[in-house]
Amino acid sequence: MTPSVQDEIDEMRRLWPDFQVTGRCDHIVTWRGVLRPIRRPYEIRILYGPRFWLGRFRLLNRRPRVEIVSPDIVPCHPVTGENLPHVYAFPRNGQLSRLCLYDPAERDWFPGMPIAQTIVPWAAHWIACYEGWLATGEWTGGGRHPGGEAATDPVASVGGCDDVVLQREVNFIAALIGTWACRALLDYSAENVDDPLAVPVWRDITDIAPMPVTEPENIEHIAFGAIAPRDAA
Amino acid sequence: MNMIHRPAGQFDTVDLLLADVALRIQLSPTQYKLATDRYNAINDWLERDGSPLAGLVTRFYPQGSMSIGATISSSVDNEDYDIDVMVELNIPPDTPSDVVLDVLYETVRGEPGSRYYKVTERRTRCVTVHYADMHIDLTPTVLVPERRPLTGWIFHHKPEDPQEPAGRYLANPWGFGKWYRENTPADQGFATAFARLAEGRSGYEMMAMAKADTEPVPEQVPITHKSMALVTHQLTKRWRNNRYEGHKGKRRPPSPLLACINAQSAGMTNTLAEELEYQVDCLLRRFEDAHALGRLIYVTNPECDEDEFTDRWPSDLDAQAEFIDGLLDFRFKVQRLREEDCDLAEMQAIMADLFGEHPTTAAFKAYNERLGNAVQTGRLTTGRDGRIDLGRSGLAGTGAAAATTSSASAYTAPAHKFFGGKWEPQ
Repeated sequence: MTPSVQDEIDEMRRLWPDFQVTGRCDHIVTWRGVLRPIRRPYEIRILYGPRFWLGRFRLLNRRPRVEIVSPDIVPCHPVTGENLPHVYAFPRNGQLSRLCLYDPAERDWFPGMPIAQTIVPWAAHWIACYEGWLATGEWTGGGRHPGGEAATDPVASVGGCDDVVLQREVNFIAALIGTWACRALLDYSAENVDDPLAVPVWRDITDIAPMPVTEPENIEHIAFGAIAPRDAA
Repeated sequence: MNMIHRPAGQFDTVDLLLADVALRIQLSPTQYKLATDRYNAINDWLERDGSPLAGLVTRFYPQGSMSIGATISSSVDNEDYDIDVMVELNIPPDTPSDVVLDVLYETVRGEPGSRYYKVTERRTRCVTVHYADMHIDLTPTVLVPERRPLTGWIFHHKPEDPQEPAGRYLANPWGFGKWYRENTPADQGFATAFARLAEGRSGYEMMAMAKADTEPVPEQVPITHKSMALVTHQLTKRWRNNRYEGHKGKRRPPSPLLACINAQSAGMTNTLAEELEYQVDCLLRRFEDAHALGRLIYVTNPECDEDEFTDRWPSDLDAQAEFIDGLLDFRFKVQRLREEDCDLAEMQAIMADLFGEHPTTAAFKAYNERLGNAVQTGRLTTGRDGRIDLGRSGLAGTGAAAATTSSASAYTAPAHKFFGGKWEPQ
């Protein structure tokens, strides 16, 4: 059974008591916390929606999203010139996006594995490897760069509906969730928008489509509106 | 051997890297055995049949860094170790200095065709035998029985400068070595961690054999008995060598002077980086105190008042001021190493600047490889703040979990593989 948001928060508090919840609703939570794998502190932000239903869509891509807030990450090695591995980049503004912490093909992580037990320590590993890479020019932590494979993750299942309705709903959902949706979903939705929504800025979508949330005062950085989950059956 | 029994301080990454650099610059057990073999061979050679000194060599013992386990390469760019040996001679103490030094020189050099003939050099206070990777300085001495054990005369004569007066000086390097060891007892927690770090290293597989098979003289300080003060002394000497590397022929602060202040300040801290900062600070304050009074620093052998460690350096206040400037920079950089926002790349840049590119690069590369291996094998363990538990993660050497401080709340995450792509500039 997939842990609920509250389960995730409780587990995070148990294992990483210094991590603070910065936003939450029924099915989405964001944390901020500091990791010091070697010495230097790194503030990270994690966004996760463990149970994610939007409209009639059940999103399968429920990957936690991890970003480094500070310090600035060096994207290109100052000596070797190599570009930083194991990240995704925002195609629009060149800013760094998520850390790539696990291989979906290996099923290192899947919904149901608590974030506190996996994603947080893996982020610490990533940071340690990043520091090692920056010092020596060598990324020794291993991993895989799949190239084009990354764009083909299955992410959504959609109830039966005609193409027009589907397209409208997909566009709507993409507007709500930005890159939180799958690449395929967003590619699909982006066909009818000028500015591809696959390039979110955390606050943007909230401005576009403010949605009711259960604890609005706690929503600080949720990049997308939150629709209360419907029956998942 | 003295040993302090107390818990190790938190063995931080910077401590690990400093210790690794120290391991890489010092005489390894393999090299130590080689030095011992050469030492024994010279001893035998001095007493060979027909030797001018046959029957006159009463004692042959190491001095200086060899006697306290602090031997490091004297060159920053390549391996060249100074091995200092005292040759105690049973000759009249008033024998002229030039005679003592010349006889030792001729005895070591031997006849044309001998193995030492072309590699022996007569120097002002000693005779040097050169090898490709080390040189052995043989200092003749004549015992002064009424003084503390092994106090003796050493002889000074500069053949290339007849104007410089010859002379003899009282010295007790053996007593100083004993005093140093007594004042820098090994810290069990640190020593164990340091020894674990060395395990599996090339050259260090000789440790057990060297301890079992070699003669008690010369005595090597086993790596398991290293004190933090001794390791910081090695690092300080390395920094000095690095700083004075480009000034060939210029006198540099002598090792006994640095060692003496080091031992007088030992045992006050809990981690290697902290000890290094403290030691550099103590050294700096001793020099600044003298300089503020317009005086040259004056330090003597605690076991022999007449044995002046500062008799040939600093030559003047300018030389002293130059060293103080260096120490200020050294202290600043070590402080920076300990600051919270100093990342691995900056640590590497600082340590390469202080101790040289080669051992630093090698230490960081090895650390990074162990780190990556721990990630890939799912052994990387972190504490509640994400700090890597060096012992449990295997970064501090083989089986180091027991030797390093581990957090009770340490957590080992499931294995994982990084994914995604490389950053692409837009």
